[in-house]
Amino acid sequence: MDLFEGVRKVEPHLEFTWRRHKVILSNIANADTPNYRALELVMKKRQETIPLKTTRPKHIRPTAELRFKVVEVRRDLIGNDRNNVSLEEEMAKLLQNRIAYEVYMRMAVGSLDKLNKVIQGGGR
Amino acid sequence: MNDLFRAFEISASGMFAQRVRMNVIASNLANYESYKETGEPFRKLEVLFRAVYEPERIKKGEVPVEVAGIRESDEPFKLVFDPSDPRADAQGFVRKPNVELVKEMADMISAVRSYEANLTAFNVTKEMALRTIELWR
Repeated sequence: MDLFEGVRKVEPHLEFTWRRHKVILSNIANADTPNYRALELVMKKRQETIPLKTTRPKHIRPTAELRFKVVEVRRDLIGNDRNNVSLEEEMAKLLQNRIAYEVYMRMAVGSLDKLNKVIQGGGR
Repeated sequence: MNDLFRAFEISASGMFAQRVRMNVIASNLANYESYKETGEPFRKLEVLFRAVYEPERIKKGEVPVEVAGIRESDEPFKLVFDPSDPRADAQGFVRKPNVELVKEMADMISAVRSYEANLTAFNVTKEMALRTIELWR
């Protein structure tokens, strides 16, 4: 039985939200930088992270480490400085991301609390 | 932990860049009627922003901003006809600095808004970090 299964399930989501938060921060910081393209973090599809078996050094290596990918947003230019960051959209994403983080955090806290209860109950 | 501080650094770089921009705008407004020691009218200053693309950090989506430089604008000077001015040339035209009040004011509002956006993002990072620390309790 895996005691930390609950936390382990939430963990990749927490990491994704935190990384996405940093991407949004970068977009906001570069809202006035000429030639800057807005970035976005996407989760890779499951197929892309399947561990491949390699028998020869030239085989494609498994890329199971990073499950997230930073991509450039393709969107028409908003200003005349070749920068396609929409500050309003980034602020909306920031807020949405923060709430998502809170949700995952509560899930983690919840499963840890359960574990705590079990431990304390056993001590009595 | 390092990861956490780098998130603050991104927002801080944005705020710093906008503050430099505010300083430059203030200088432009202050020197609206100034001349250099050489007698040439004051040239408007411009800030150049640059995104810092570091290969290791771009993978994590971290792109801070930096002030690449401050340069003098080469827009033409304003010409005002005023033969009584001691700086007037043979035809009676005076060269004035190429600072435009309306543009500077609009730029200032934009800088303040961007600064506020970065500040809000900074606060959100702080809240998320505090929330993480609460896991200890």
